[in-house]
Amino acid sequence: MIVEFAPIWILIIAAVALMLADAFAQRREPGFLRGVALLAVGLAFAVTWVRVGDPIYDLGRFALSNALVVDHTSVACELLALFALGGVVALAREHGSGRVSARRVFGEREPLLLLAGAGALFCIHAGDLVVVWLGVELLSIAALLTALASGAALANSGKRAAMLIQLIPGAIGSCVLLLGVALIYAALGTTSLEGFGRAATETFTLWGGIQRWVSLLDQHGAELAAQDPAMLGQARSEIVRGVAPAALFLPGALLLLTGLLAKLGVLPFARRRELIEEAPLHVSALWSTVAVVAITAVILRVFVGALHIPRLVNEPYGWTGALPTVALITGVWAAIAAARQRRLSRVVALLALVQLSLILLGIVAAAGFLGHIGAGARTIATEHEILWSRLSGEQAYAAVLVLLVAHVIAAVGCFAAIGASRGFRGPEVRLQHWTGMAARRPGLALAFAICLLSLVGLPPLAGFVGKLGLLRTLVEHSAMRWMLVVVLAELAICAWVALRIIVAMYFGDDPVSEPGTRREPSPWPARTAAFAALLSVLLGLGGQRLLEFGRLPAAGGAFEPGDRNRIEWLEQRRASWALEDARFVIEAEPEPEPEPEAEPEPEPEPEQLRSVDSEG
Amino acid sequence: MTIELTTLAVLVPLATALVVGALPRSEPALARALGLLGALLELAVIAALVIGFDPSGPAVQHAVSSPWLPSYGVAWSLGVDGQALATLLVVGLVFPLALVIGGKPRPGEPPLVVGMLGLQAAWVVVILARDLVTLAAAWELATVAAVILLGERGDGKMGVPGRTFAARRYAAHVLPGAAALVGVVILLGAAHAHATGGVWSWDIDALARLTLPPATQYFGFALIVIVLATTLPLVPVHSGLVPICVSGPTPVVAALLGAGMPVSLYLLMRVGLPMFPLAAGEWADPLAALAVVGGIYAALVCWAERQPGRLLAHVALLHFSLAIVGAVSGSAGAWLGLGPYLIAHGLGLTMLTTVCHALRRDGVDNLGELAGWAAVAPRGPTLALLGTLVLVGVPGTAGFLGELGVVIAVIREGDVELLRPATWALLAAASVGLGSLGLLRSLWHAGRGSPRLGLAERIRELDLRETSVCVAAIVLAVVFGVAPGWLLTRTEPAQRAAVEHLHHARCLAIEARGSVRPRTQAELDETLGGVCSEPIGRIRARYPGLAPQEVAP
Repeated sequence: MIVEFAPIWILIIAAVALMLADAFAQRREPGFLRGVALLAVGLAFAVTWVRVGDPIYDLGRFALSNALVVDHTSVACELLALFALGGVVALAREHGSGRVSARRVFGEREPLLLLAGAGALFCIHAGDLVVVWLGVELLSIAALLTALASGAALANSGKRAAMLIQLIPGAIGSCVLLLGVALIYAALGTTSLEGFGRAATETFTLWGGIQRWVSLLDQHGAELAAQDPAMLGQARSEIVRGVAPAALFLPGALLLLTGLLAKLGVLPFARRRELIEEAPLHVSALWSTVAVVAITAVILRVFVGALHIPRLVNEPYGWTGALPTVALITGVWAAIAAARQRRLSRVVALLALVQLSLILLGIVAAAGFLGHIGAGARTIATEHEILWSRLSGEQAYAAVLVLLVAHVIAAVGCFAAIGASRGFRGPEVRLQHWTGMAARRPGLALAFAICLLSLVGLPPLAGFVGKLGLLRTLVEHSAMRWMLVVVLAELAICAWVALRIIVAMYFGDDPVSEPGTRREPSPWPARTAAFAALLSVLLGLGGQRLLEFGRLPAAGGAFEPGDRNRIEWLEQRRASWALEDARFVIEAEPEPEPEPEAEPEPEPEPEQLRSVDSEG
Repeated sequence: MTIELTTLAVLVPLATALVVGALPRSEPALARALGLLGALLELAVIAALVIGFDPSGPAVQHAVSSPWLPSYGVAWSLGVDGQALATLLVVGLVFPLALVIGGKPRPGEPPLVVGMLGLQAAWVVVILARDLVTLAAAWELATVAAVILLGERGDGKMGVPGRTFAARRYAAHVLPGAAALVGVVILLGAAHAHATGGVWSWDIDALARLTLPPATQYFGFALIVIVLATTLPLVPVHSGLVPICVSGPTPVVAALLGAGMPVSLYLLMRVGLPMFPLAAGEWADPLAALAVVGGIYAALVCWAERQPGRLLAHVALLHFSLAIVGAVSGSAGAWLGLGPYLIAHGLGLTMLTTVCHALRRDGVDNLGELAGWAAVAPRGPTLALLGTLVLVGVPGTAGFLGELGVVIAVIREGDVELLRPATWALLAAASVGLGSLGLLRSLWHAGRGSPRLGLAERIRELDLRETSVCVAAIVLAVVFGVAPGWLLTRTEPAQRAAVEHLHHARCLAIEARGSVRPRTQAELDETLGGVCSEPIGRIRARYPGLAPQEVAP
C-alpha cells in the first residue's frame, strides 16, 4: 500500500517540507526550492518506473476503503504525469528582473506545483468519484494559486481580470462536476468506482423491470383505477422507483463529463484556457500537460473502462453523442487561432489543445469499439465481430495513451524552450523574439523545432507514432471515418504554424532578439527542452517501445479493476504479443547471404519473387 | 556488417548534413563545398545502384527491411526496382548542380546546405521505399524541408522581397496535399487489414495487389490528386509554383523544379495508378486534359511573359504536361520514355534556373530591358538557349529521345487508359514546342542588337561556377541522349511488368465493382477464374468508348 501510492505521499510530504523551508529560511540560493522539488519528483518517478508492467497489477485493485485504485493504466498515467510535473518544475523561470537581488524571492511556487501534481495523481488513482472531484480541485486550486504566486500577477488590472475569468468558469466547472457526482450518488447510492459499470447497468435493469407496470397502466389503467386504486398507486410508485435512478444517472454522467471537459478547456471553455496563458509559463504548461494526463486518465477509467455499455456509449442516450463534434470544433478553432497567434506560449498551448481534441476523438473511438456488441455485423460472424471490436477498442485505448505520451513530451519541450528565452517573461515571448534564434542558440532552436514538429506529428518523431495510431483507429471506426478529413486539415494547419516558427528561427534575420530585463534563465529550461527533444526523436525512431508502453494498460482498460476476466484476457494478449515480438526479432535479424556456390536454379519470374518476398 | 547501397544512398546525404550542420556559420564556402562533396558522393552511390541493377534479376534489388512499428505493420523497408532508376538518377544529378548555383556563399549557408541534403535524403527514401508509411513519412519530411528552405532569408530588413509570401503560399498549397497523403496511407492500411482478415501491412507490393471497392478507389485517388495537384503541378492550382520561382532561393528552386516534379510523378506511378487502378483509368482523360490545358496555357504565357522567374515557372509547367500525359496513359513505352524525358527536364530546368536567377541577382525584372544582352554577357543567353533546346528535345539530347518515346508510345499504346490518346499526346507535344518557341523568341529578342546604355554595368557575366554547372548539364543531356541504352535496358522489364499489373488490376477492379469490401487480387483471380487473363480485352468490353484495336505487343 505504501509503495503503491508512494508517489502521492512523496509529493505531499515534499510540498509541506518546502513550505516549511520557505517559511523559516532566512537566506537561500536561487533555484534551491526547484532542486528539492525536482528531487522529490524524481524519487516519485523512480518509484513508479519500477512498477511499470509489473504483473501484480494485472488484476488491479482498490485500496483505502475503495478511495484509490491501482492498475496498469494508473501506473502508466502516473509515470507520465510525474514526467510532465518534473518538466513543469524545471522550466519555471526565476522571478524578478536581472537587476533585483535574488536574496529573497517568492517560494510558494514549487510547493504549489507539487500539490498540483499530487492532485493529478489523486485523479489518476481515484477509485471514487469524490476523490476525482477532490483531485481535480486540488489541481485547479494549486494551479490558480501558482499563477497568483508569480510576483507581479496582481500588479495590473489585465492580469487581475484574467485571473478572475479563470477563476469563475473554473468554479462553474467544479460545481458542474460536483453536481454530476451528486446525481450519480442519488442514482446509484454510491460514488465508488468498484462495480460502477455493473451498478449503472442495474439502474437500466430497474428501468426495464417496470415496463410490465407501464404496459399494465397503458392497457388497463382506467379499469385499474376503478377497481383497485391501491394497485394503481403501487404501479405508479414502482414506475417512479424504476425510472428515477436512470433519470438521475444519465444527466449525472453527462454533467460529470461536462465538468471534466470544462477543466480540460475544450470549447466553450477554451477562452478560459487561453486566458490561463496570460499566467506564468509553468502554469500554462501545467494545464496543457499534467492536467490533461490526469483528466484523461479519469475519463478513461470512468467512461471508457466502466461505462462502455452500448446504450450508454452510443446515441441517442450515450455520452459520446456530442463529444466528437465538440472535440472537432475545438481542434479546428484551436488550429485556426494558432495560425493567427504570435505569442509563442499561446501558440504552443493552442497546438496542445489540438492534440487534446485528437485524444478525445481517440477516447470516443475506444468507447465506441468496446461498446460494440456485434449487432449489424455484415461480413463476418457476430462472435468475430465482437472480438474485432474488442481488439480495435484496445488499440484505440493504446493509441490514446501513446498520443498522450507524445503530446506531453513535446508540449513540455516546447514550453521549456520558450522558458529558456532571455529577456521577456514567458507569456510575452513573441515570434519576432525568436527570429534568427538558430544563429544565436542553435541547440535551443533545434530542440524547439523538434518538439514543435513532434507536436504536429511529423515523422519520424514520437508524435507521428501517436497520430498514426489515432488515424488508424478513426478509419477503422465506420461512424468516425469522415472525421479523418477534418483531422488531417487540422494537422496541416498546425504544420503550417510550426513551419512558420521554424523558418523564422533558422532563416530570419538576427533582429531585436530577446530584449527585456528578466533575469537570465537557469540552465534547467534549456536542459528540459533538449531532453524532451531527444526523447521525441528516440521514441519516434523506436516507436515500438512506445506502443509496448501503451498496450498493457490498454488491454486491461476495458475491465474494471478486480474483474477476473481481465486476467484471462491479459494472458491471451500476452501470448499474442509474444508472437508479435518474436516476429519483430525475426524480422530484425539479417537475412542469410545466398551461397555463391549453390547450384543455379531456373530463375523465377520477377513477379513470383516479389510474392515470395512479401509473404516471407 | 555490410551496408546495402540503398541504405548508403540515404545515409550519405544525412551524414554530410550532420557534418555541415556542425560547421560554424562563419564558414559558408566550406559548408557549400562539403555539401557538394556529399551530393557528389550520393551521385556515385546512385550511379552504382543504377549500373549494378540487373534487369534479369529479382524485381527488387538491394532490399533492406527492418521493423519500425511492427504492432502497426510498419517497416523501414528500402529496395530499388527498375521503375525507380530514372527518377533516382534525376535526383542524383540535379542536387550537385543545384548546390553550386545561386549567389556566392555567405554567412547562414550551413542551414541551407543541411536542408538541401535533408531534402535529397527524403526524396531518395520516397523513391526507394517499399513500405508506404516510410514513403509517406519521407514525403512529409521533404515537404517540410522544402517549405522551410523556401523561406530562407525571407524575413527582416535584409530579406529577399516576396520570399516569405512565396514560401507561405507554397506551404498553403502543399501542406493539404501532405495531409491527404497520410489519408491515403491510412485508407490503404485499413483496406489491407480488411482484405486479409486483420493483418496490418503497408508493404507497397502487397498493397498494389489489393482490389478496393469502387467508392474507396475514387476517394483514395481523389486524395492522390490533391497530393499531386500542387506538386506536379496541375492547373488551376499551379499558382504556388510561380512566386517561388520569382523569389525563392536558387538552389531550392532548381531542386524543386528539376527533381521535385519528377519525384511527384513517380509517386503517381508508384502509388496512385497501381493502387487505385479503376479510378486512375476512369480519370486518366480528365487528368490528361488538365495537363494539356496547363501546357497550352503555359505555352501562351511563354510568348507573353517577360519576368524571368515567372517564365521559368511556366516553362516547368509546360514541359511537364507531356510527362503527365505519358504517365496517366498507362503505356509501357511512354513510361520507358519518361526516363530520359525526366532527366532532360531536370538538367534543362537547372540551367534555366541558373540563368534566370542570375538575372534576378542583377536586378533584371523584365527581359525587355535586356536588348543587347548577348553583346554584354554572352554566356547567359547562350546557355539559356541551350537549356531550352535540351528541354524542347533537340536531336542528340535525352529530351529528344524521351519526348519522341512518350508521344509515339501514348499514341500507339495509350488507348487502354485514355479515350483520346493521340489528341492528348499531340496537343501536349505541340504545346511544348509552341512554348519553347516563345521562350526562344524572348531570349533571341533579349540577346540581339547593341546593348542599351548602362547595361554593361548592370549585367554581370555568369561566373565560372555557374557556367560549369550549365556545361555539365549540357554534357549530361547529350550523354543520355547519345547512349540511353544502358538506362533503358535496365528499366524496360520493370516498366512493362508495372503496366501489365496495372491493366490486370484494373480488370479485376472492373469485375469486382459490386464488392463492398477490399479483396486481394489472388482471391479475386481465384473467384473469377481466368476472366482477367486477357485484361485489355475486358477493359475494352467494359468501356466501349475505347479504341477497338488491340494493343501492339
